[in-house]
Amino acid sequence: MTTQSFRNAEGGLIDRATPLDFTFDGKAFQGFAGDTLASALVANGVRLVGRSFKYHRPRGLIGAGVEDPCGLVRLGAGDRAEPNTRATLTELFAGLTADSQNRWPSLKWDASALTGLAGRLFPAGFYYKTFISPQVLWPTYEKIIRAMAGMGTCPEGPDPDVYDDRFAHADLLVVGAGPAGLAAALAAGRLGQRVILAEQDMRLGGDLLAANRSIDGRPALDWVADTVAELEALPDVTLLPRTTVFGYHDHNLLAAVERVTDHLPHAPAGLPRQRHWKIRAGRVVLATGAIERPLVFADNDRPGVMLASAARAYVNRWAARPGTRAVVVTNNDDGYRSALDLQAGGIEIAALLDTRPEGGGALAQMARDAGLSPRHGMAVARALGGHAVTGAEITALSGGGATETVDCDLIAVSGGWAPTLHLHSQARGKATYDESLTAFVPTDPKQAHESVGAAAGDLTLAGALAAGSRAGGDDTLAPPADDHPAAPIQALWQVPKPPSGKGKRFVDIQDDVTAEDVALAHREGYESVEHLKRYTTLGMGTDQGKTSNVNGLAIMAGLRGQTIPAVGTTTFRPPFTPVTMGTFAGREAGHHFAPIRRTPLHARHDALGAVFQTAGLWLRARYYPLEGETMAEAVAREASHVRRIGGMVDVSTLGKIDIQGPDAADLLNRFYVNGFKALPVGKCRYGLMLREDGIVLDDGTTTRIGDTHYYMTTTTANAVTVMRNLELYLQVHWPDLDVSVASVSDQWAGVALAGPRARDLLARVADIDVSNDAFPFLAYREGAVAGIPARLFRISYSGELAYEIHVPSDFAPALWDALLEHGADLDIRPYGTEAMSTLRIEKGHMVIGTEIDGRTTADDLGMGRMVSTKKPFIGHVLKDRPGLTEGGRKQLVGLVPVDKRTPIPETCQIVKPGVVTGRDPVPIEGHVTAGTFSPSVGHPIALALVKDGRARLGETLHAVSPTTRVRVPVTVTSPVFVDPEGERLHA
Amino acid sequence: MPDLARASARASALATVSRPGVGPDCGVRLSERPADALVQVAVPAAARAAVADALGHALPDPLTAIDIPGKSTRLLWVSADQWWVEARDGTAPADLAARLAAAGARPTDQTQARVVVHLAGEHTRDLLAKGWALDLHPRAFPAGACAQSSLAAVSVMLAAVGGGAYDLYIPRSFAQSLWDWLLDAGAEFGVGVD
Repeated sequence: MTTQSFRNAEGGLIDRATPLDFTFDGKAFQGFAGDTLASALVANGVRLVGRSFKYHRPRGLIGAGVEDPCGLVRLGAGDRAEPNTRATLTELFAGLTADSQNRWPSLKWDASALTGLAGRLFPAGFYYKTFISPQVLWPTYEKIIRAMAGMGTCPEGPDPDVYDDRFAHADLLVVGAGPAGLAAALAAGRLGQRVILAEQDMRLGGDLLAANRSIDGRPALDWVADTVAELEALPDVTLLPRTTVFGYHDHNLLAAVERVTDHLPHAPAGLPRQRHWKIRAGRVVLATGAIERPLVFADNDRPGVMLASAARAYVNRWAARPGTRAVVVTNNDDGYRSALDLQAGGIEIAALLDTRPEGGGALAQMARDAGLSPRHGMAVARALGGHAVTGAEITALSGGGATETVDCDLIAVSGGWAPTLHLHSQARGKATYDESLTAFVPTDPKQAHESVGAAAGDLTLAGALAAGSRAGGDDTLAPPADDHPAAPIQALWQVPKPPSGKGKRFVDIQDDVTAEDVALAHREGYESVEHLKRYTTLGMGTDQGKTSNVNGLAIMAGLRGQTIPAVGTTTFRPPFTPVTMGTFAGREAGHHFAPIRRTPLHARHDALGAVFQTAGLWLRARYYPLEGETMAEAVAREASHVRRIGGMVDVSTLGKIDIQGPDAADLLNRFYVNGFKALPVGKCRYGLMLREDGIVLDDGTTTRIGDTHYYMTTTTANAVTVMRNLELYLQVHWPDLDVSVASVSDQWAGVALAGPRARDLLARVADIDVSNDAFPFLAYREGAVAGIPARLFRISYSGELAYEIHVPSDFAPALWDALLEHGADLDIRPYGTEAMSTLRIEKGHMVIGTEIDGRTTADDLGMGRMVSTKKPFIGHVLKDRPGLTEGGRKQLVGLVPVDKRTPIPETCQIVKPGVVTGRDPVPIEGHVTAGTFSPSVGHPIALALVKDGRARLGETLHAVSPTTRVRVPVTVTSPVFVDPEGERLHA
Repeated sequence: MPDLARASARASALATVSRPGVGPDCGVRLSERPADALVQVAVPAAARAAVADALGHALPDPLTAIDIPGKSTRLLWVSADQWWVEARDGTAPADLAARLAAAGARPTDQTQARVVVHLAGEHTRDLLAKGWALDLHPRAFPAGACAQSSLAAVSVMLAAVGGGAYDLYIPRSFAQSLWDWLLDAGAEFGVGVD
């Protein structure tokens, strides 16, 4: 166990009474509760945390929070492992395991680091230039590039964790719980508003957690504690620590991810790992703070070069010293505050360099009072050292380039602060360059949002508190704070190379983009910031350039001889920080991927050993295998049994629509291609619907159950579509029709009873006369079946003597049981959807998705004669388009294998005999839509759509599938294989 | 014909679901509450007064549900000119439908199309918010409000019935699936079944 030798004995927001053991690259360490992985590594003196993206250079922590580009680690193990996690945002817990990335065989001795030595060979656009040709080698190149440049590796197995979704609504969403955000939430909360305060950190307080500041004459942390306590007590205020708002969408919809249990060694039962919040906010206050910029100088990526604000955060918040002897370099007054805090934290300040010739303001005086000696007009020209900083070459910016060397193990840099305007920009707000801040500030919000405090470019604490309060609705709540007048910042985008010319000056440290790469992109014409980004990868990666964007485009502006605002910025897009994929899946994983619809008979099928099949969201009984039976055997047995004796099948999934009103018949007449006005009460009629474009939409039966009352059935697949169309036409197109429609798909269950003995069984259980005269084909009766009020229809899908019995859903199991019980000695047995399909193929009945495939017309399907010429209906105009009426269209036919033996698979295309399928396209005569073994005719059959098929009966064609090498000679036949005269139907 | 009157009992769509007991820490309590009659009724404008007379109460405004005082009857707005009449006083659906038809309305029996689940307990809103996009804060959705929207991708009617409790009207075919979802999503609060 390594001791925490860089931990101060006192101070910081850590609990020294709660030590936490963890490992990094297999080595055991200890930290304290309140640590992040990063702060614990700092406290243990770990400097080297990763290898860089392209050059595999050794890298350390640059930041202390969301901005850190380099501290990317793989957390956890096995399928729970998560690559590219920020050490700075990872809350330490007992047993945490983390590993560095992008190194082999080890972090210290990385073989690919040789690319760093050969860096000259890997300039900007290297991939584009090198791997262009020959093109056939691209797959090989891609593997090499991925292995070399990829960050982290994904786990292979399914994610074992649970994720959650949450919708939320608020009058005010405050993003960021620093001084401005807390003040905004407090002001709005006191006014009784519904407030959500989201903070990505584990703790509320923002920058105040990491700064020695005072508010109203008291330590700022006391103000934070009081404010949080008051907010917690307000019933309509929701505080969300560990929650990153990562997306700002239209209509003030914001997306956030809450890390619910990531910080716990073991998640309590029922709690998800992360929760995806979708927040609708009346107003949004963006108190997202600002991010400090690094300075660009040679080898500014050496472990130990750190943002000054991060160094002071480690010291102040975590009592962890990122070094023992520091060079601090700044172009603005805030660097002095960092130097003072580092000194107070026990770090020797070896040099305090201010790049400005005139030096700083009040804070500079405080530094001098504390014994520091700022040197004006000076900067670090180059960091020295390999795996860790060992010194700094410093230079006068105005001089001839002479350097001196200062020994140090920490170089704390401050290049000024850039407002975090990502969410503002995602909401389509503008960014305007502010010369006095040398940064872009948010302007012109496009939705109901407002940026306050540092996010708006006001770097004073009092200003943040006042702006936050005002945004929360109370401009009287503005406590004073310990701000000091500052001298102007200096725009310093890069420090010239040292006289030796050594070292790389990194602009984007995560993506290994140097100032020289920016210059190269400029020379090669990639001047636009968007081109610059794609060409050099500047601002890409998991940090999306949080510390590099402004420096990079400022350097480009200098090269182009233009101002920074003229060059502009790249577009900010969600997510603000990476979000794990599981969070987007949320609860919709596994069997909750989609809701499951079950018929009222589901448990009955289950008890009978049914194999189920999904049909849309429905689960349907596909077949009921006997012991040792294959599916094909079971299906043939069930289908054959229906034809010979009788069977029953659950048809509850059919769409059912109740239609009432004086104009109901007129409505039906307009929806169906065939006439419905003359349908008498007590009769059913088969109907066909077209889409507006003349293509067949759906079929089904509609029954007139009362004078102005109809009961429509649709296919299972189109239940919603047909209902939606009825409502659309009634509400929008034909509001003059006095008709009411209601979906009753769930109210009624249906069982089809089919086969020669169907009537015998129905006679036993129904209280109506079921004789052929009293209850003929296409008749409708109401009565009781097994004592259950029922709707009875003499309709047939199987082609057999058949009835459909519809009963209210809760009574369906009783109906089913009664039919089985009273049908037992008649040998009536259940059959599934697969046998139903065999029966319909034998009869040439069409199905949605195969024959009714969104391309077929009524005539294609052999239904042309059904189409009325005496009335208009939906699709009646466009059905006569030339393309739908001229010859050569595919028509529904049957196919029989010439050898009467070989099955005709459903994937087959149809070609003329002698046509060789291979590389070149061949003329296609049609395609197979459905194939089955027909127990009734004793050999395989199929339905197909064949060009001019009805004129080609008897012709021999070939059904081929080049992918499966199937070729079956087939004879074109009528699609009706069984009982073409319909005698069984009317029996 | 044999005596086949075996169908006096309705089979619940939730007959086979898991029903964990109510413990002291349950944040959400579920109970299945089948209605005696649930009739959807389309009411032409001309019939509104007669229908109100027949019901003994005016039809509620959009997005509103009313429990008729002194009667075990609830009226829920469904869509333009459509309402649900839900009776829990033993009324048979056919009788209720006949009464509404006589008043000039167009009734459709939906008694067995919907499974009514009552949700109560301090975390009820937290649970619903995992799959329900509409705002349920009492200021936005007070007792007496009702709305149809998607709960975990299932289209349901939700009515706020007061005391932080809600009645959920689930399409029968989705009831088991949504029940499973409620138990699963509610695990962190503790879900018990009354």
